Amino acid sequence: MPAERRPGYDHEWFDYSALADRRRPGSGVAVVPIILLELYEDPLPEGWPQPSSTAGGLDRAFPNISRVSMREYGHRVGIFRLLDALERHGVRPTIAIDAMTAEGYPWLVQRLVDAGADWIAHGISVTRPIGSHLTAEEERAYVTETIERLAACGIETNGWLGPEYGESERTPGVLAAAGMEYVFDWTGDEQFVDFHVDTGRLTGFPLSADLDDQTTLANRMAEPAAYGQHLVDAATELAIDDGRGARVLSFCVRPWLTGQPFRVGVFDHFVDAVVDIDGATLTHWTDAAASLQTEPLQKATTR
Amino acid sequence: MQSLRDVTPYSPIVDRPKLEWPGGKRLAVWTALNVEHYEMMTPPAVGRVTWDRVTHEPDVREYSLRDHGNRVGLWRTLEAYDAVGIAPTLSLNLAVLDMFPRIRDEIIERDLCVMSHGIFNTRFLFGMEPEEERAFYTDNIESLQRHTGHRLRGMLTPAVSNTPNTPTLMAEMGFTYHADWVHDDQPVPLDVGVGRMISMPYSYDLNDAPLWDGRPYSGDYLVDSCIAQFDRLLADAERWDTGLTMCIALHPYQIGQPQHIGRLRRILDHIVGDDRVWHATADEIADHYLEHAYDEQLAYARDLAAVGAARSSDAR
Repeated sequence: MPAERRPGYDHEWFDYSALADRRRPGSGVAVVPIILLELYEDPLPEGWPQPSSTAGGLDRAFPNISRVSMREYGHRVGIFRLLDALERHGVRPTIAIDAMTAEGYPWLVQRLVDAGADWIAHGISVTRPIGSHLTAEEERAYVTETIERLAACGIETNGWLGPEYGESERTPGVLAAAGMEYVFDWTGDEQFVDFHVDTGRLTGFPLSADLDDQTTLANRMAEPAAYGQHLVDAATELAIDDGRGARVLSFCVRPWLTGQPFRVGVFDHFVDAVVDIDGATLTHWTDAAASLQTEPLQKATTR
Repeated sequence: MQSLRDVTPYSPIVDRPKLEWPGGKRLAVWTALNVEHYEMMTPPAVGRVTWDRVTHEPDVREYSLRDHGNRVGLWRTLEAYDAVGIAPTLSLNLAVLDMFPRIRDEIIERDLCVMSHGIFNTRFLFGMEPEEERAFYTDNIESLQRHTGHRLRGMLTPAVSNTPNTPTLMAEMGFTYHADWVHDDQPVPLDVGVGRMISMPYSYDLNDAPLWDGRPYSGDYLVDSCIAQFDRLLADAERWDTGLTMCIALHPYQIGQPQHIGRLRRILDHIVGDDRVWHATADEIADHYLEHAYDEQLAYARDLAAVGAARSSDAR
């Protein structure tokens, strides 16, 4: 529905809340890089509208070896560079994984289990993003199928990040009804957001769209050093105690993109820099959720 | 082939058998120098439009920008390689041999390694039926044979265009490497069921044309990327105790411009002089890999796939 010109959002998932008005306990920033493990289907599946921002390789007809092989690089090589960077600091990796990757790469799943992976469900494949093209029934089936297929690979989680942040107008309700308690698709805040759902409970986990490596490195074509500086600047700023409560700095990194030899130094330097910033803690997502989400959001101010 | 993953059984670089380069070198570095001819008036477009700046061909500005590579840029680029005593691998549109005998003679004189980049960069493999694609390979092989006496062993498809049959048909026709792939820092077997076919790691990132031709990347981005890539790959080769591969992909019509050639010299100055590095041609890398690594690497990847299949059927 088009928005009405009255106070409040043009959706009913959560209430407006200005960060400037908040006085929450705690300070500092939990830094949570989210490593995406995605399967890019070629040919593209029929009936799945593709976001224009999905990057990688050259734009070519099937078989698109350039794009598929660039993304495959992440599973074969790039992931190990990112894991090494986190393991060097004793930090468990946060991994958003889709069902097709989990099924197709059992060795990698085991390696990630051994690394203490903190999982996020990431749909069926990156080329099957949720959107309003799905019927309500199809969307419920999609979420359930993802959860079941991941569970069959030993992956259980109550966190959801849609492929390409894909949602329909129904998605938060569908996720909560399916048992998901955290959604990562909404990138509008630096603190946790309480969602209104009829069944279950759902919290928005803060995520930065602007610091997503695909947004920055591929779509905006930033040079790696500039991206690295953005990350350090964000962590430094959020670590300052402004009396409004602790923050989360989380962002998506793709092993096929940031894990390339010429780019990965940026990630290395970032994690090394973060541990030296007073007030910044490099960690995994469930730790950030447990340690920072101590208070419910203030009551609605506009509804 | 239903999916490209059908021919690339998963093989994590940190677990597969160690790859040994000749003389215990850690990093094999090759340059793919794309020497191309774009037709002024192209055949009906299949899968891709070449001259998309204008509504009607020709596009003289873009055509002659590329021609600059063959008239000027190639020679300037080769001189930069001469200065450090290494040789690029030519990724050659083979019609160049017919159209520009001066370039053909230079290839023969220098005995440059040539891999196919198709016949013209404006004739794509998209949509080819197998018989047509076989005839294309025959033309490729005979063209190089006729002009230089050498046997073609590898190909980067023209303008990066493939059919679902390409790796298999290449193997059938006696090719041993396919350079369209960027899924690994080593060559790896392509499990096509015929012949012995490998991927030769190419690069769409360390590549002057995609960076500079229509995108906002600075000139120095290529230099910084190549140097960072080289340093990291050498470090990872030591850390992972295995041999790795690096590709620099160039086009004389870009890197051979006077404003850019100094950037190539800076890259080359950085990557020569380290005795852990094997400056090789694509043919040399492929020959070594096929003789010393192919069998065990393929066996490893197939075993891993079998374990995975068994595990997932247990789960059901």
